[in-house]
Amino acid sequence: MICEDARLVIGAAPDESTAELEAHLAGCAECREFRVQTLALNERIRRVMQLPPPGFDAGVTAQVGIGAPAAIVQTTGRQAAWRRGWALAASVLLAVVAVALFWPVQSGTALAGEVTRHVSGPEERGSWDNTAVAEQGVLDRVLQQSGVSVALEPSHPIVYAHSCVLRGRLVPHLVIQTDIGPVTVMPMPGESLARRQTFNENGLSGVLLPQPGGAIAVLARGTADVSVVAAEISQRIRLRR
Amino acid sequence: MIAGGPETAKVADFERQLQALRPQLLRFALWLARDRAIADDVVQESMLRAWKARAELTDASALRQWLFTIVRREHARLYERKRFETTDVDLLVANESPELAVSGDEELLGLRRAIAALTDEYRVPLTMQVLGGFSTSEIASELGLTQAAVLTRLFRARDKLREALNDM
Repeated sequence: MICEDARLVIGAAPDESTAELEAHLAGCAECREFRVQTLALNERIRRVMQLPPPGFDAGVTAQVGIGAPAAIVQTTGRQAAWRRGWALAASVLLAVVAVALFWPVQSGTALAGEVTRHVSGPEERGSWDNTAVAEQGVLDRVLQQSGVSVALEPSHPIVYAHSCVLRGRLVPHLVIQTDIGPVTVMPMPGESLARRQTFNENGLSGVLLPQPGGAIAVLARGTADVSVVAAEISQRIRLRR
Repeated sequence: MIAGGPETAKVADFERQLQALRPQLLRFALWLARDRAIADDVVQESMLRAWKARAELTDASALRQWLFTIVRREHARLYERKRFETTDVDLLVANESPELAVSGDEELLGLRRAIAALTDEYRVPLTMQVLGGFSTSEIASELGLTQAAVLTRLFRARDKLREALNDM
C-alpha cells in the first residue's frame, strides 16, 4: 500500500483498520499523523452529529434525546467506533483487494473508458462550467494528496480542482481553461500505459499520455482536438512516484 | 383478562425497541433532510412501514440497521416527491437555538454548520456512515453508486470539513 491509497482509506473511513493499512502505517510517520488528525476530526464530526442540524428548537433536542449542550462532548466512545470500524474495514479491504487484482496494468482502452465515465458521471456534473480560478490552498492540497506537482502558465488557469478516486487511487481532477475551451486533466501517478492513445467516448474526446511515474489524461467535450494542449500541459506536470 | 402468548410478547418487544430507537432515527432524518417537517414525516412513515413489515426482519440484531435503511429510503422518497432541492443554511444558522448556540465550543458549532452546509452528495453518505453505521459498500448499494464514488464523496466531505475548521 502506498501513501495515497492509505490516505484515501483513512479519509473515507477513518475508523478503518486493516493489516495492510497497519503495515503501511508502521513505516510511515506522515500517514500515521494523517490518521491521528483524521480520527480526531471524525470524533468531532460524530459528537457534532449527535445534535440536530442548526436551526432547530429545543423541542427537537428533547425528542432526539439531548438534554443539554454539554451532551455535545459526551457519549459516542471508541467501542462503537471500532465496531463500526471492523465492518468498514471489510468493505474497504475488499475494494483495495479488487484494485490490486483487477486494475493493475490494463489496456489504454479500458483506462480511457474509466476516465470518460468518471468525467461524465454525476459526481463531476458542472465541473466544466467553473470560471473562477481554484483557490491556491485547495489546489495545493489536492495535488499534495496524490503526489503531483503542476506548474502551468498564467494563461492556463485551473478552475476546478478536486481529489477523485479512479481505479482505487486518489487522483487530481483538474479543469483548465485553454485556447480551445475548458479541458479536464487527470494526472494518474502509478498508472501503467504503454503508449499514447487518443479516444472519443461518452461525448468526450481526449488523449492518454504515458508519463514518468504514471500517465496523464487530457480531454475535452465533443470532438475537440486536444493533442496540442495536452502536449503542452503534460510538460508541466510531474508525478512524484 | 387478555391472554398473552409468545407472539404477543414478541410484538410488544418490537414496539418497545422501535420506540427506543426513535430518537436516533429522528436525529438521522434531521441530518439527512435538514428540515424538521420532512424529518418528522420520514420517521413517522418509516416506523409505520417497519411495523407493517416487521415479519420480514428475521434477524433481531439487525433491527437498527434495518430501520436506518427504511428511514434513508423514506427520506429519498419524500425528498424527491416534495422536491426540496435546497435548504438555506444561512437561514438555519440564523435560527440557531439559543440553547444550542451557547455550548462554549465555537469550533464544534462551526463544524456543525459546516456539516449542515455540505451538499446532499456529501452530507447524505457522511450521515449514513457516521450516524447510521453503514459500510461504504452498503452506502454504495443504497445510493446506487460505485464504491469508488462513495469513497470519493466521503473523502471529499471530510476534506471540506477539515478545510472549514482550518478557516475558523
